[in-house]
Amino acid sequence: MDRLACVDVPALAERALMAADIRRIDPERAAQMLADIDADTQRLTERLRQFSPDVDPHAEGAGSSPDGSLGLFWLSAQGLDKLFPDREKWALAIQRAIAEAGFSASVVVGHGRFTTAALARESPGSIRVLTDLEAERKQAAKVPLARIAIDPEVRDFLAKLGITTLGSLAKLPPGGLLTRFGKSAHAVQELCAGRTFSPLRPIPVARRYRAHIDFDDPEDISERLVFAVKTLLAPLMAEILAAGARVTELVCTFAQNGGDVRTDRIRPADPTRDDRALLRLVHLRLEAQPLCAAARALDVELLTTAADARQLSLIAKRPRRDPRDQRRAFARLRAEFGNTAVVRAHLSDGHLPEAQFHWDATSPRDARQKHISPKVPEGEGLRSIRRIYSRPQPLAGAKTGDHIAAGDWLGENLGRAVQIFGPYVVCGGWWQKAVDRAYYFVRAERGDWLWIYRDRRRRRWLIHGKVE
Amino acid sequence: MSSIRGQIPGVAFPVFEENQGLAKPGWDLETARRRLLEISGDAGLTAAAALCAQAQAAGDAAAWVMTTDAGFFAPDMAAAGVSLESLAVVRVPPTTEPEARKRASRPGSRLARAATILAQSGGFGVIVIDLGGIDIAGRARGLPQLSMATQGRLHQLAVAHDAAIACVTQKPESAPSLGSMVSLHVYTEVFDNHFDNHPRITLRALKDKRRGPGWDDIRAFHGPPGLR
Repeated sequence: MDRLACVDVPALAERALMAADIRRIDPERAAQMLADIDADTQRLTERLRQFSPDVDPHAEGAGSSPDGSLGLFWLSAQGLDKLFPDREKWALAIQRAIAEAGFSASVVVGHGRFTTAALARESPGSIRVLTDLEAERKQAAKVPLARIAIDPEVRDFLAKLGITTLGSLAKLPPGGLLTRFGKSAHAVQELCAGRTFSPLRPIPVARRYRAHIDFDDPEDISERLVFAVKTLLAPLMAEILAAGARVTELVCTFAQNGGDVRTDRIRPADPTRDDRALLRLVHLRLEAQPLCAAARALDVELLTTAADARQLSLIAKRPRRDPRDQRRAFARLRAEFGNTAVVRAHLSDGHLPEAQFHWDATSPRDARQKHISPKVPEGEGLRSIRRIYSRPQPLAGAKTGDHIAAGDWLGENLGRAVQIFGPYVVCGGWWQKAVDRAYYFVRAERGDWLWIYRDRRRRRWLIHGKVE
Repeated sequence: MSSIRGQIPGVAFPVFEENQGLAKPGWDLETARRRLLEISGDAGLTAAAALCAQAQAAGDAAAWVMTTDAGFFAPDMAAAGVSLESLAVVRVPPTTEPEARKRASRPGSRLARAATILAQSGGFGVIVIDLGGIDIAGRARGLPQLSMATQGRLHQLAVAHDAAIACVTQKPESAPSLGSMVSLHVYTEVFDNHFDNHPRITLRALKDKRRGPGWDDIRAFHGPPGLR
């Protein structure tokens, strides 16, 4: 078996967990954090290429790696004996390179993907070189289950049975976990026992398409900036056409007066070779979000993917609502209003109203797919929809006290309270940040149905929304 | 009414009789298609969500444009039969001050801009523009408006792509519609039904360029949990 090195950068996984935690409160910030994690993963992957041409970052996308291998990188050692004869020095150089990038890492040189990852996660910041496969398996058997990516429910259940290490998990009969906890738990057990093999999946070296220009005079007029992008784009697109690739993202970096650097990432609806479509999106972005200072220099980079070999039908029956048209609209909207403008609502488990759903910055699914109607109202009635405010508004009636009654003044715009339903109390979170709210539906004199609550801890009345 | 038809030339009377092949209009996708609509009153979001649910059930695509300040409560939309996975939502951030000065934009113009981009694609059967969430703090001067040019563009796109473009507004019944290009203006009102104590919603056509105003559609109104 060829040797490899596993590099564990725990900071990436920690940041992904933080992004998952704050997603309900601030989804835009969470989306930005995930995008930063993706960018850092790519950056570290490129940095690790100086130590091996085959680097497997195994990051499917920040926050979406089901086996919890975010922050893990594997480098193949195949064919590097003459370049890096001393494996320990190789590992040390890798660790130093990651430290220069601003991260701390542990490095394990061994034989198996799973065993080296377990050992790397066991002792953060360490370096280990294992020459013998049997010794590597014996050491990996002692790694606690808490160090690997396993469902917490499964881990806690096994802990009650006294199974806390990889070695003890490997000794369990194979069928039990599959029956009780499903395929993912069974897959972990198979890896622990060495009955399955997870091969290295290095990502190919991406060809860089970059160009740079320094302006004679600082530029802040959007038309001139778009023209500069067009000038840089032309030779790059010719190379991309010759390579048979398509552009998935255009990154424009403006070095502005005053030292600020602004980076715009423009994504077309589909991988494209159409430079005019890219320039239209750049124009939309610069018109909607002009530079705050004139640009002294411009860097353009194109990220690409291999061309799609699918043959287009000459007589294609165009669907009534073409998803490609929808994706183009989404790309234009993102270019003009920001990358988090197009979202879909995603329900979450939460007690507070704002925690019961969040916005997911992924494109909506094709409407032609199976339509899911979870709760269609019976008969011909209409189910009411509440409007929810991102920031609850203070109730202008300046009520004091913890209760509201018919006749209470709600403010000039609303009049008096005519009809009230409630209170519906939401209380909890004492272990973290206590919440004590009493919700009411209040019909105002003007006719609005308000959705208000009394924050008993802060002693305030707030309007969370309306029934419309 | 039918007795004086034909006696006054050039005047068309909408006659809702089964034998004439004209069904009574109601709040459905057929009534809304190929039009720029306005929905105002007590239950604008409810009526708009019903349109989206109908479009999705028919295999069509729906989109919703709103501000980042206020929007629909997603669990209610799911309960109303709207597929959240397929519903495209565009959350438009508020205008930054220099842009507002530069373009002298009306409240609602950025939402209309987003809706125009969606409508131009031809990829959506229903597009809802939620103008009701623009000024929740009451700081803007006057009601949200759409310019005549914007309305004309949206109307043409609705006709060209067989779509329904619905603007949700919050205004009293006496207030005029957004503009002359609005083809159907429906006012929604929720009232208690004293016979069975179950609330009802009326969708009343204040303006209907196709079939004439005055029709209404009364349905049962299912409030959120806790609101009878």
